[in-house]
Amino acid sequence: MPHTSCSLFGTPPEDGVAPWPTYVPLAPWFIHGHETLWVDIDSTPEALKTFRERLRPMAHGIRPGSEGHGHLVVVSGLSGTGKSSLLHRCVHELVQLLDAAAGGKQDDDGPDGERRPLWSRRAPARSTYIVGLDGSGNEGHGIGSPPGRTPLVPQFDMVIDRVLRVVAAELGKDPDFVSALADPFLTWRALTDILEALDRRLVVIVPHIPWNDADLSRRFLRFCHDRSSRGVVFFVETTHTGVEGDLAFFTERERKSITHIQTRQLRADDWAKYLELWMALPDVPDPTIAIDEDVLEYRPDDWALASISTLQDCLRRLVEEALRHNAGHLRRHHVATWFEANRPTPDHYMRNPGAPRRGPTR
Amino acid sequence: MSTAPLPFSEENPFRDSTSVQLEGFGDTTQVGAGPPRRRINVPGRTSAWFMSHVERYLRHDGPRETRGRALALVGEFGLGKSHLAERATAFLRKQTPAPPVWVIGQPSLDMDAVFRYRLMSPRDDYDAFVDFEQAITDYYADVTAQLLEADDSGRLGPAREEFLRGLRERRLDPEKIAQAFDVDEERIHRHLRRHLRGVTDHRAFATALALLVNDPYQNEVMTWLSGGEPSPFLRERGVNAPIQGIQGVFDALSVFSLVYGQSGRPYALVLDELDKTTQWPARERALFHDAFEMLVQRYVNQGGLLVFCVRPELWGALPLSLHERVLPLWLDSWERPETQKLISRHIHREAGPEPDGDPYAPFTDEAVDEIVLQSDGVPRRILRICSGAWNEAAAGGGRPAEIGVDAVHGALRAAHRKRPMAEVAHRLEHVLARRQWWHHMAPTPLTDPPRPPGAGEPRWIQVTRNAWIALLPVPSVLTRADVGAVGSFAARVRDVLGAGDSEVLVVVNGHACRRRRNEIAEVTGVVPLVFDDPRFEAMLLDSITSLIERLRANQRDTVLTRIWHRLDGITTQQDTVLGRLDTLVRAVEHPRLPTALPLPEEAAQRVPAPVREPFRRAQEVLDRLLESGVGQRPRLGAAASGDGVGPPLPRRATTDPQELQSMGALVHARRLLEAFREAVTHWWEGGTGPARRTADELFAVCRSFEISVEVLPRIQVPEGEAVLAPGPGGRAAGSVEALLTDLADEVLHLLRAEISGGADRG
Repeated sequence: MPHTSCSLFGTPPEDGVAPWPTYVPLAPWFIHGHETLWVDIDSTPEALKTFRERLRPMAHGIRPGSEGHGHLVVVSGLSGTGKSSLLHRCVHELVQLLDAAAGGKQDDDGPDGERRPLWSRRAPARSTYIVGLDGSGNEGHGIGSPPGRTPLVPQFDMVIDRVLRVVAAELGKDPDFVSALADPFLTWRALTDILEALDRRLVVIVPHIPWNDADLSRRFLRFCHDRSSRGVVFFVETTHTGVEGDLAFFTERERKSITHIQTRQLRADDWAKYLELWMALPDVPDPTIAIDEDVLEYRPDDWALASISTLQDCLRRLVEEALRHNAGHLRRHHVATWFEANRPTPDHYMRNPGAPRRGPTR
Repeated sequence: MSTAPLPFSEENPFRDSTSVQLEGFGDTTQVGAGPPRRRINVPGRTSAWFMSHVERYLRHDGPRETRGRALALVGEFGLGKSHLAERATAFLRKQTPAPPVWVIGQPSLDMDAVFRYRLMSPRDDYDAFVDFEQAITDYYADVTAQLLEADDSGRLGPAREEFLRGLRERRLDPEKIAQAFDVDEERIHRHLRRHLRGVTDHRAFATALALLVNDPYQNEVMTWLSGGEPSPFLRERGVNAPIQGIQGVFDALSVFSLVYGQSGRPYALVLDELDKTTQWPARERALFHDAFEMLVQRYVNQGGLLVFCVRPELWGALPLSLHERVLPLWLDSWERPETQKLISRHIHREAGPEPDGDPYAPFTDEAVDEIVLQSDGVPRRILRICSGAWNEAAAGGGRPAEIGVDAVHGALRAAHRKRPMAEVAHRLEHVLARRQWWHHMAPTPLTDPPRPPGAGEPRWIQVTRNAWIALLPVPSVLTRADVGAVGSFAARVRDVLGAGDSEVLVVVNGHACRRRRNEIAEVTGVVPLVFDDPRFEAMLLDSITSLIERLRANQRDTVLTRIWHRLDGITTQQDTVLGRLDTLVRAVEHPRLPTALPLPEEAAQRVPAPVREPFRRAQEVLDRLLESGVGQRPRLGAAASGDGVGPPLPRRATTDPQELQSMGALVHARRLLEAFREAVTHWWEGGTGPARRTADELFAVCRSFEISVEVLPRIQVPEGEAVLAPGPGGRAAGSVEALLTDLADEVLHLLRAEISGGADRG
C-alpha cells in the first residue's frame, strides 16, 4: 500500500507556508517550483503543444524596435478548467524562450547562481517585463470601473487607459506619463521606444473582463492585437467559450500573430493523474496523510469534473476531516460518500421569493 | 356660471368642480382637517358596463393571451368620460396587490417631460420593480436552460432534467446556477440580448434589459428606464440616448407592457383627452396615432388593460385597424332617473348612506323635468344648472325652501346672459360688413314686425331684388312662449315677403337646449345659432352663405316651374303623335289587306347582278310555256252542225289529265324558280357585315332547288318548242327539268366565282 505524505491540496504561496490557498492558479514565471506541480490533464497537453508550435519559431522575431514582432495569445475556457494555470505556464515558457533568444546563459536559479529554495519568488526575467494587470488571481478587481465603484462594471476607455498606466508604471514612468500624451497611439509608441532603449520585451497579462457586449469584447481584442508589436506579447484570458467567433473578425494575415488555446472539462482519469503527482510531491509541509491505492481508481462523476476546484474542495475537506478524527488514511469510501453528498440538487438553487407582496397574486 | 361670490356658497351642495383631472400617481393622503368630500357616482348603464369590463379584466382566469383589452370611452364634452376613467383608475389602485397603472392625463407634444416627471416609473413602486426584475429573470432562466440543455459535459449531475425543468418553470434562480456551474456568462448574456431583441423588437431596450440581470448595471438601467441620461457603460453598449420623443416614450410603455405582461399580473394604462392631439402639427399627430395604435396592439396581445377617452369626432377618424381592437363604450345623455339620482346624491352627500327613492327636495318635480330638458342630459350642465338654481332660490340666504322652474330659468338666464344685445349687434355688424352684407333697413313693405320680448333689432340681408334674410338676435330661449314669439315674427316676415323669398336666422344670445333649438328650426326652417359658441363667426358665415344659396335656388325654381309646364305640354303632344305612329306601324307590319305583289322589275333589280341574266332567261321560258300551255289550245265556238241548217251547237273543250298535270307542274316550277331567286337574293343581301355569305350556304340553296326540281312530275313540252334551246353549258336541253337544273348549276358557279374573286367586297 503506497503510503505517502500529502499536504492540504492547494497552490503553494510565495513562502510555501501552509495552508496553501485553493482556487489560485500556478504561476511558474513568478514562483519557483510551481512548474513541478503541473499536471497534464485532459486538454492541456494539446493546448501547450499548439502554443509551443506557434510561438517557438516566432520567439526570435519578438523583440523591441521597429522590426520587432509581437503576439496575441488568447486563452479561453470555462472557469475551473485550469485556464489561468495554462496561461501562466505559457508565459513562463515564453519568457524562457525570449531569454534564450536574447542570448546569454540559461539558468533558472537567478543571476547569482545560488539555488533558490522551493516556493520562493523567481528572479525577474532578464529579457522581459511581465505585467499582470491583476495579480495572479482572476477576479478582475475592478479594472475598468470608475473609482469608488465596487462591483465590476468594465468601461472600455477606462480599461484601455489603465492598461497604459500600468505598463508605464512597470517601465518606471510616472502614471501621468500616459495622460501627458493625448493620443493613445503616441503613448504606446513612447512606451515601446522605452522598451527599445532598454532592449527588453513586454508581456501583458489581461484577466477575464466581463464585457457583456459582443462589440466591446471584439474591440478589446482588436486593441490588444494592435498593441502586440515591437516586442509586446498580450496574454488575454476569457471565460467566453465563443471567443473563436470574435477572433473570426481578424483577417487571415492578422491571425498569424494570434494564437488561441483553450481548456476543456477534465476527464475521469485526470483524478488519478492529479493525485499521483501530489502523492509523489516532495517538500510538502505538514500535516501529512496516507492515501489508499483504491482512491486512485475512483472515477468521479461528470459533474465533479466540471471544475478543478471541486476536486480540490473534496480533497481538502476529506483530509481535514480525517485529521480531525485522527485517521491516518484517506479511503475510497470517504471519497465516494463525499461526492454522493455533494451532488448538485435543484433545492439549493431556488429563486428568491421576490418582494413581499401586499396581497396574494391573482 | 354666476361669478359673484355668495355669502352662503359653502352650503350649496353643487359647488364642486365639474371637471375631473386624472393624476399620474396614486395618492390617498388626506389633505387638510375636514373630511374629504365624497365623490358622487351615479351608476348609469355605460358606467356599469365599463366597470364590469374593468372587473372582468382583473378577475380574468383564462390564459394570459386572452386577458388584454382596450376600452375607449367615447362621448362629447361633459358626459363624464374623465369621471369614468378616474373611477377606473381609483378602482385599480385600490386593488391588493395594486397593479401598475400608468396615467396620462393629457397627451403633450413634450412627451419626454410627461414620461420623466408625470408617469409612474418602475422606481416609484418597489413591488412593481420586483415584478419587473422577475420578468427579466424569467427570460434569463429560459436562455440559461437552453444553453445548459445543449451542454453535454454533465455538469448538472444526475438531476439534470430536474434543473432544466426548474429553470423553465421559473422555480430555480438562473443566476445562482450560472455561477455555481460555471456556465459561460458572456454567452448567456449574448443569447439573452438576442432573445430580448426579438421580444421587445428594440435594440436599446434589449441591451438595457439584458444588463438588468447583472447587479452592477441595475442602477444605471433603472435610471435610463425612468427617462434619465444613459451612463457611459450603457452608451458604450449601444444605449446612447435617453428615452425621448413620442416614439421613444411609446416604445418604453410597450416594453413595460411586455415585461409586466410576462409576469402575468394585471397592469393598465389610462389616457385621457386623446382629442388634444387633433390640434397638433400633422407630423406629430401622425406619429402619436401610429405609436398609440401599436401600443393598443401590444396591450391587447400581452394582457394589459388600456383605457382612453375620446370624442366621437376623433373616434370616427381613427384608423379601422384600431377600431378592430378597441371596444368602444358610448356615453349617452342622461334621462330623468339618472338626473334625479345625481341631484339627490348631491343634496344628501353629507348625510351618510344614500336615502331610498332619491328624494330631490327642495327641487320641485317640474324643476327636475326642466333641468333634464335644459341640460340636454349632459351631467356637467345638470350640475351647473342645479348650482345656479340653488343660488337663485337661496337669494335670501340659508337653505332654499323650494327650487322651482323659475329658479331654474333664472339660473340659466343669469348664467348665459353674459353679453348685452348691443354687443351682439356689434358682432353681427362686424361679420356682415366684411362681406358687404350689411343692411340695417327693413325691406319697405315690412314695417315693424312683432319682435319677441328682449330681442334685438333684426338685421336684413338683401339677396336678390325681392329676397331677404332676416337676422334676429334673441335672449335665452327657454319656454314654448319664447319659441312662439320667434314663430310669429317669422310668420309675419313670410306673409309680407313671400315664403320663397325670405329666411329668418335666429341668433340666441343665451341658452337654448336641444329641444328648443329644434322647435325654432321647425318654425323658421333654419337652425338657430348660439352667440356664445366659440365658432359663432364661422357658423354665421356658413349659415348666411347657404341661406343665400337657398333663396337663389328658390328664384330659379320659379323659372324652372314655367319650363316644366311647357315641357309637359310638349311631351303630352308628342306622346299622342307617337301613339298614332305606333298604330300605323303595327298596321303596316301586320296588314289586314293583301298587299300588292312586288313588281317584277323590282324583284329583278334585287337579284344579284351576275345571275340576273340566267334567272331572266329561265323566267322567260317558263312564262312562255305557261302562256302557250300544254296540249291543244282549247277553242270554244259553235261546232259545225253537219247539215248547216240547224242552229250551231255548243262544243266542249276537253283536256287530258297528263296535260293537266304538266301544266300544274309548270306552275309549281315557276313558283320554285321564284323561291329560288328569293333565296339567292336573300343570301346575297344578307352577306354584309359580320355574317358574311358563305359558299356553303349558297350551295345548300342551289342544291335545295335542284332536288326540288328533280321530284317535279314530268312536263310534256310541245314538239318543236323553240324556247328550250341548248343552254350555255352546251348540254342537250329539251326539258324544263334540265333547264332548271342547269340554272342551279350556273347560279352556283357564277356566284361562287363572284365571292371568291371579290372576297373583299362587303
